[in-house]
Amino acid sequence: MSSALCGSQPETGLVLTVVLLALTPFALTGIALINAGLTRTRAVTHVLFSSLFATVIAALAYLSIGIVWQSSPCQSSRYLTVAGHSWNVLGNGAFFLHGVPATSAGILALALFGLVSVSLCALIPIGAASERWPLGPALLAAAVQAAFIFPLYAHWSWPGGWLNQIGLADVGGSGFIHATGGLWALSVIWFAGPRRGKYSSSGMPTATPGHNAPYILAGCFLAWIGWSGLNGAGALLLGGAPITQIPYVLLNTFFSAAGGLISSAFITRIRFSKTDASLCANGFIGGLVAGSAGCTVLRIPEAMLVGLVAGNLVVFSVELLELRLKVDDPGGAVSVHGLCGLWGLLAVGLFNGLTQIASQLAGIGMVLGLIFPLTYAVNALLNRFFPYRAPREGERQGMDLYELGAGAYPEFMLHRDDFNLR
Amino acid sequence: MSSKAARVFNTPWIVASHASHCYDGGSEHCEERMKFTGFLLLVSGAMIVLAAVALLTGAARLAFLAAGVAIEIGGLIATALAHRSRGGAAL
Repeated sequence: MSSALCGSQPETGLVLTVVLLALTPFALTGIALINAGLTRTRAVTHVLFSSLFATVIAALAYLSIGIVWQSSPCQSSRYLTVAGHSWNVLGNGAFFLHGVPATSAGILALALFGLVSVSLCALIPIGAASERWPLGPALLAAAVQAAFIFPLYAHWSWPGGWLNQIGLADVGGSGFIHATGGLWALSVIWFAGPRRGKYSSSGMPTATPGHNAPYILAGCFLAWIGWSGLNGAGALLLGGAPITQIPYVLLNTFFSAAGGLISSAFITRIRFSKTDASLCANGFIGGLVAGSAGCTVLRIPEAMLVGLVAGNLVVFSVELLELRLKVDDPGGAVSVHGLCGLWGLLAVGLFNGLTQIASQLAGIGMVLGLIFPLTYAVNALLNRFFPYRAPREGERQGMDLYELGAGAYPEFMLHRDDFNLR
Repeated sequence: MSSKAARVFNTPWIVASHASHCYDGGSEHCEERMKFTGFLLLVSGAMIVLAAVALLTGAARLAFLAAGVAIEIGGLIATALAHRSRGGAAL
């Protein structure tokens, strides 16, 4: 990032950065709508309300505590010297941005970018564990994630951090938003368990389609707008891209999403003889996720290729997770965010030489080997004191009625007790 | 190698051999061991990645990073297999 943006000097790029940052909440809206559409009617309000509340709690936890560990490239950091080399391992910021002048545009823009990123990260597990994850534990998990885990990896991968020192490229958050969020979702699913009636006594999954395909598809349009803002702002703030490169970044964003949609539509058409709209929507989001890391360095055909692979990954991994590994993930978060996020990180290396591959592998290695076990340990601890699994009655009534006291469609929707109780 | 050191060195391999019997329909005890093995592999892979970044350069760094990530993927698979719920019926 330019030194002018770190100081109080205004520059032309600042206006564009603010405009792009203003678009980023559309990504949150899109993901929340997709999660709601992929849920059954009995938990729609619960999913949307949890998403809104988790966004607020994650933002508060991030700005109050997380920003201390993360700080920003414009602020001081703590270094660890190993084998004669200094590694930037931890930030050294202040609680609630204390002491940062109101005119420090760079620090505040980075804080805003981090705030949206952490909120997006907090939304990912809500779709994955919908219909059985109570509000209290979900909010607590969002707070812990935003205060401690997200800032740690984000500090490492943002400019100045030790992963960035070795050349890791991740301007749009394939790693620090999506891979960490997707793996967080996986551990939440493991602790919450599958929804009642999802698997028969012989272990075969039953089809539990989402209640509203139009929500899912409208969510994709909104997510596209939000992702354009997120990748554009990330390119300016984290990638040091010139303003003239932003249209290119937005084109890359679109073409990676297009690749995801086209490949998932093609595969579902061949495999199921009909195009599956919800899987295609997940393929589209998978393309956006995978294309985020390299939106400044990939060429347009490469971005499209990254999206094409992401679409394939989504379709096949959703099936693998549900059938073979018994992971009940209604939102497809583990495939779309976790797997495609990791693929996005790797893809930047594949198109940019061996040195870049090494840097990207280091980023992947840290997500899998340190962040994921840490996430799992935190979830195990939280689950012990605040159970992740809703009571039996909550699932029977639906989380809307059980926790919020009102269903999403009270006038024309009857709740039928259609569980396969054994 | 003393007998105590040999025991420490052999522990991961003994755990892994037990875990391999847990793949399908294993006991709860078996699944716990498999989870432990998976996390041991995840953290071991991360240590290899950290060591490669701190101490190596060039092709050697790339090779060790790839090895570290491969071990982590093995750990993730072991952990995922250990968490397969038994048809969800118990819930």
